[in-house]
Formats: sequence, structure tokens, C-alpha cells
Amino acid sequence: MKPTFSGNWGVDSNIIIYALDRKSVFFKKAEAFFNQAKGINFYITQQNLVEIEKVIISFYRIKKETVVTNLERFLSAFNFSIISPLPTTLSYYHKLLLSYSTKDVFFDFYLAATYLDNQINNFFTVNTKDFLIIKELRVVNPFSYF
Amino acid sequence: MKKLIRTTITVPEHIYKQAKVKASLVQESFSAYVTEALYEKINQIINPPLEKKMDPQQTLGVFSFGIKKIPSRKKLYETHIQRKLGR
Repeated sequence: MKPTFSGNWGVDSNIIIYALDRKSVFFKKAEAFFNQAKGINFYITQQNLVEIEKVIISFYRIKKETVVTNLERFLSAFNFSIISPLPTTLSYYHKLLLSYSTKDVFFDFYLAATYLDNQINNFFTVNTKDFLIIKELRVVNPFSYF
Repeated sequence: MKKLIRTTITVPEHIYKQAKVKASLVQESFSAYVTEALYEKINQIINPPLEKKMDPQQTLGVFSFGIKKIPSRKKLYETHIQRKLGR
């Protein structure tokens, strides 16, 4: 049974990229997810936006202006709030880094710390395994329900 | 100078915490931030924004590069760091 999601949720870069690329393997699922996402307040960090632009511009040679314009339209249409690391995020990140013994998690943990430090405790991502170890964060792959 | 009123309101804790965080992000006092939010809310009711928001459906699938697998975050950043450090 498909659960109903509501409240404040962070969204990972991969979800947005799949939603913007109509030929991507997950486009239909991304489309269905966003079209049915009533009652969810979407949040995204500045570093996610840099990652999305990096992937689309560098790997797929799409013009910078086109990518920025379309990304901004998407975020505005779905009422995304953009959040940033806070002065306290570094210590939150260090707390996560020292609490869990997983290797090579620096960038994922800093992203998780940015969401958690901004009081966002729910996170949509396709790569749930990268974040499941962080017990403070509720991690869901929304595509598994479509 | 406009007359200021001191008042007490009751709000859910998560709203309060988010407002405090957002106020600190824009380097405003909590009072200034709440005042601005109330002002915007009141003015939206009187004068709804003229610019029509784009239909969300039209913002989906705007590219067609057929991505199969997105590089992991680790790979994205490590490639950059290796290049910067000349390794």
C-alpha cells in the first residue's frame, strides 16, 4: 500500500534530475510522484542545486542559462524552499561523522547535517542506502511506490 | 516612528524553530522576521501576485538526455577534489 507523505521533506539531487529528464529511466515515476505530492513542503539545499547543475551542464552539455531557468521554474512551481548550511551545521556534521563508523560518507553526511540542522528530518532520495545509517533522518525512495 | 506593540502568540514548536532558523539565515531579529512575514501575508490577501505561476506539469521533463545512472555524490566531489589537488 502506498503511504501518504506530508510535512517537511528534503529532496535529493537525483530525484530532481530524473524529474527534469523526460527520457530518464525514472521519469514516469518522478512525474507521478510530483503530481501526487499534495501536502508535502519541499526543501532543497544549495549544494543539491549545484550538484544538479553540475550533472546537467557538464555531462550533458546543456546551456547554463537553459538549465538555470528551467531549474528555477521547477522549484518555483512546486514551492520548494531553498535552505543553506547554518553556522552550526559543521558541528552537526562532525557529530554525525563521529557517531557512525561508515567509510567515505563525508559529502552525504554534510548534506544530511544541512537538512537536520534546518529542522528537516525527512528526506526523499533514490539512493537510500547512502543515508539509512543516519537514524535522525527518515529516508524514503518515493519511486518505490510508483 | 511607527508605534510598536508587544504581544504574545502561541505557535507549534516546529514552526517556531523554522522561523528562528530562517530569521538567522537572513540575519534578522525574530521580531523583524515575523513582522515581515505577517506584512507579506496581509498584502498577498489584498493584492494577489500578478505574475502567474507556471503550471507545475510543464516544468517536468523539460530535458531529454536519457540519463541512466547519476554519478554518486562521492564520485562527483572526489573527481573535482582530485583535479584541484593535481592527483
